[in-house]
Amino acid sequence: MKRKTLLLLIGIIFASILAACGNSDEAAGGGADTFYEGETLEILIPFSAGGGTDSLFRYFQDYLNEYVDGNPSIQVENVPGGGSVIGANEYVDLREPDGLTALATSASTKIPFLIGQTEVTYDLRELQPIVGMPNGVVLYTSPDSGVTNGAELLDPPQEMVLGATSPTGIDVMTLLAFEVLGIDDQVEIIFGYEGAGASRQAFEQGETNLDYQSGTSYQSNVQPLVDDGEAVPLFTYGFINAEGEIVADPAFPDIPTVKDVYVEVYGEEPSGEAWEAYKAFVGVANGMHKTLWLHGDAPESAVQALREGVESAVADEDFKKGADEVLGNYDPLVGEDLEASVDALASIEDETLQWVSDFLREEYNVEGLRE
Amino acid sequence: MAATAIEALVTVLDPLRIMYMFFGISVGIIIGFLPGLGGPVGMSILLPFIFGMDPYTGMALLIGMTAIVHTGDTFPSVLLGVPGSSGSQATIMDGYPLAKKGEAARALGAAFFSSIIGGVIGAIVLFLAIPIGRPLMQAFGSPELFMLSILGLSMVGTLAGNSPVRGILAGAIGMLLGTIGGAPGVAEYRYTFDWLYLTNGLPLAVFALGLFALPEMIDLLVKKQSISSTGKLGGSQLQGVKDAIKNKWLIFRSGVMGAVIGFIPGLGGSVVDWISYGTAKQTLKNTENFGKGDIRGVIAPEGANNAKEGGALIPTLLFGIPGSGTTAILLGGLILLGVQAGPNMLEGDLPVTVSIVWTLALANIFGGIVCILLAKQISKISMIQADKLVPFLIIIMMMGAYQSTRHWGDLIFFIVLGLFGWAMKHLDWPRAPLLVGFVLALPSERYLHLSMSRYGFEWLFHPSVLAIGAVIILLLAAGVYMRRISNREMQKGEKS
Repeated sequence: MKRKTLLLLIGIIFASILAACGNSDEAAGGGADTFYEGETLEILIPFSAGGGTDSLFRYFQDYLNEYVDGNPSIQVENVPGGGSVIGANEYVDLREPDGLTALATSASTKIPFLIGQTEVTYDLRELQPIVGMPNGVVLYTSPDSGVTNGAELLDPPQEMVLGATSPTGIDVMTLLAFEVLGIDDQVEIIFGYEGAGASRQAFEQGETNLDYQSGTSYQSNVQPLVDDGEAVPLFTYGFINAEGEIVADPAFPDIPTVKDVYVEVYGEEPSGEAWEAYKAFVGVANGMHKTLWLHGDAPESAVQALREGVESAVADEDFKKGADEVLGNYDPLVGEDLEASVDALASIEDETLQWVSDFLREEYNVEGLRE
Repeated sequence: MAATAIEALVTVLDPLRIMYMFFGISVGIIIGFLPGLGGPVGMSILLPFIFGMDPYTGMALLIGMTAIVHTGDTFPSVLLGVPGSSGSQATIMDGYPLAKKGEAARALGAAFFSSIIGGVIGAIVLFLAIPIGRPLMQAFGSPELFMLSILGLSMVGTLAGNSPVRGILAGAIGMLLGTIGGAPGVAEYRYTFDWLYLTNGLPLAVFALGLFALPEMIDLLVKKQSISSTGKLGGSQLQGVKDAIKNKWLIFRSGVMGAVIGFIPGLGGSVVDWISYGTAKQTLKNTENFGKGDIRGVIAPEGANNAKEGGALIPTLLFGIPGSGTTAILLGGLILLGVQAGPNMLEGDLPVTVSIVWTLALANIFGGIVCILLAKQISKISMIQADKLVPFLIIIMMMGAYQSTRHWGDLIFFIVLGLFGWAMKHLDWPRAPLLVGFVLALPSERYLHLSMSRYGFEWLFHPSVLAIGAVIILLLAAGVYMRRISNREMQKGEKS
């Protein structure tokens, strides 16, 4: 009897060891022609399993295996913690730049770099993007607020209240947009909501009357409210084109952008440091909302093989069909579009980033940013 | 609705889907059984399997697992006195003493039966909430959520046994530990000492395992005997089921409470077992044996923690707002299956929603029966000598703790908190209030901050806030009253 129970225990332990060990490292190397022949490509995801970024790249997994030259097996590893900074730091500091480990990021990995949190050891400008998944942002209000378009935010008939999470996360884009438009004194921003879902709930319940959601979340959660006359879209945060200018959100071409609102109000094109910073954020956080990267000094043949593989993968009919739920109405950035984003990323000036850090420190008392 | 319900039942009963549901159930039982591994780990293990499945089959697998974690986690809570997952600590309070008395089978029988009923109640609540979910969610603003956190915190005195003051102090220390990490509302980190690991706070699984499991292991080793002090497995499961049926109102009440608390996102469904246990103790008669092996102390938390999952699915499915780690991953799983959580779950994807309700109910029933059938064999664990058993368990626990963030900090804090918990245990300080304080620290601070920034002091006079306040006072008063009655009866008993 005793022996049976011991056997049972041992069985259970083996099961849990299997459960615990998600990864096994493969020795580095690479053939001359097909870099990934017989290799394993590991994708490091700095979030826990099941989140948006994790789901997206797990969805990609099979297609990468099928389309990347040499059919590498693809392994996903989750290194969560520190709001994704821990995993991204680990990638640049500890992982070999051998082309066998890629990093997946979302906007929340990019913002800490852009605002200059001192914990961040990665510089996105020194990594090589393989593919970017765009996602826009739409700001909307409730019909009770009396505001019907973006320009009216300058002189709202009643107090405008926006629910936000923290002045160190994705909310920074909104702070910059308000700074550019000159409406930062007209809107009261309440920080502390747990995330975009919680702030949307607060909006629906009337605790706030101004909210923004990512493009994909807007489509599924806010569009029904708009159709029922319970929400009014004001403006999108736009996208960056190849010339570095803000253009309409491809998923919402009929909603004006921040730039359109500015031109309507002030009669001229926006300019200045806040505007430069805003464009840098839109280019990185919207244009490449979720991104797959290789190290800056990864073998060129690896970068080529992956970029080409992804380009054919996203053209696959099956991929497109399933991707609608994951990507919304946005097309992945590959080929020339990706090049444009890479250029935009590389051209972000140190002065612009420093301005953002100073702005957040002075206006929102954020600590722990680069001096 | 009725036609959809029947159609969905037929879909769910497809043999292939039933097979996947049973696969989910077996993973759920194992995950629940292994101390420290809970729903989120089970989800992450199963997630890669759902690629290419249709939504019904994928959900059969994932929901089958989620539904049953809180049935499987009863085994270690009762047999070993260590929590199987972070939702089953309260079961230890009376389940473990029962096992020590040699009545493990009775405790397990009562627990599994309560789990089945609780789980079905959760599924019914989910079903009923489908048409009214939206207005329901809108009733909870930040002030209401703050008051509900206070309702949870008001349990700390009751959970402390004979010394409410120690309970309050332990609760306060728990809240202090809960403030480690990023602050809600302002861009500040507290007590992180520039260590990235601490920016998200101490992981709940590490906290619960250290506090409750490690001290038990140390004591088992010191005593050098098997857990069942009588050396035999007395009591029958049938007796336990009968006990549970006798307390049907308690199961019903706990189930509804579990579903409601699970429904409120951000409130920490992980203390629902303690809240249910505390209310039972406050409102039932003759509670002097609570903590020493009262079967009702097993029924209350077990009825609640299975029902919680049904409640937690409401905001997850209807709003895309996950209320727990498990449902957060489930949301990702839904996306992979091509279903977008949100208002559409009531329209185009209604069949998926209803099939989830059925799966939840069926998995709870099947899983509970499987556990009852396995109980006899598994109970033998409590007969093994401690020095043979404990090393295995400690390794499993270390692994469970390390699953939280896979950072060596997990292991350090597991040991540090374990020693702290061991000291508390031997100095007779209650540990449950510490956990409740820890879990509710962040939500109570967050919602107080939000209420104050939005409404000033005006929120204090919202009718719903006053109503929840009245419930808190009533529960506290009932607790004091019941304690007095039982003291009086005890004195009477001693005299005669």
